[in-house]
Amino acid sequence: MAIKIPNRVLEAVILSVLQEEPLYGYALTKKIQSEVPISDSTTYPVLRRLEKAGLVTTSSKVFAERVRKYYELTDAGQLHLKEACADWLAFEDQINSLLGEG
Amino acid sequence: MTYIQELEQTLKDLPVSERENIMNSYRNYFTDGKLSDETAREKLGEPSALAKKLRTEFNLNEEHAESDDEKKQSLFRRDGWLFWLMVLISAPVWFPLLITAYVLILILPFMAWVIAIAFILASAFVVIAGAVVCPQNIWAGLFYIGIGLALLGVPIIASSYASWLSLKASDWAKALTHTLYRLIRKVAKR
Repeated sequence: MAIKIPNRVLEAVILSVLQEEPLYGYALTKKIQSEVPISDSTTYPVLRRLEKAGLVTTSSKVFAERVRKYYELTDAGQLHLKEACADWLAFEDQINSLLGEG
Repeated sequence: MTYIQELEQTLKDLPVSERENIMNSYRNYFTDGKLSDETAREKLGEPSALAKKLRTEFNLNEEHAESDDEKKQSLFRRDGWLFWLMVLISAPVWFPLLITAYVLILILPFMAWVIAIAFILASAFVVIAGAVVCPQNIWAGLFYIGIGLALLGVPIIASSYASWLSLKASDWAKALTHTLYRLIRKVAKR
């Protein structure tokens, strides 16, 4: 896919994946990458942003003698996800109608 | 240096907690993905590029850090004239020093070459003198020839220093100019 996923959409995608189950960074990246090609370097900064905005929380779990950070959706994150979904659908409609005319 | 180490190096200026957070994430990422440094470079880009991305993210988040910066800037602006006055007053000190630094950088290799050549000439002179003395007094002649040959040791050492200094001179001059330029730009930006 030649279209680069916008940050706002990637945020929503991450929130949506985390809604299903809490995941650690690498697993999350791989899961998204199985559907959409995203750069490995984009996930961490976005996760950090979401964490600081209080949309996800982190919990540390020890795995194979190292600390793995699991990201989990908060209530605020749920709300944000709903809004972002609505925004995306509206955006999609607009683009589709424009492309349909062409 | 490994990718992780390089990344940590380039993030040195971030607060410790933030850096630790980032480094922990990427260390885990490396282990989980079984990444070698080469595949990491392919997937994440050069450490410096990744660091730039992370730093932008950090700056976007840290609004209070930005306001701190602004405070610093306004403080500096208020005292701006004082700074320039100090630059002006101290000019008799730093200006000759600066000129001396440049002149030294350029003149050092030259001096080393002069020393080398002087000793070659001296050595040649003493060897010839020894050869001239030889027919009259062979031992005195050999003594002078020996001293002359011993003198050749100095240019051998000096010339290696001289060529090293000449190679480095342009580097040093460039580095000095670059440092000056960066300093001036940093001050001007404020």
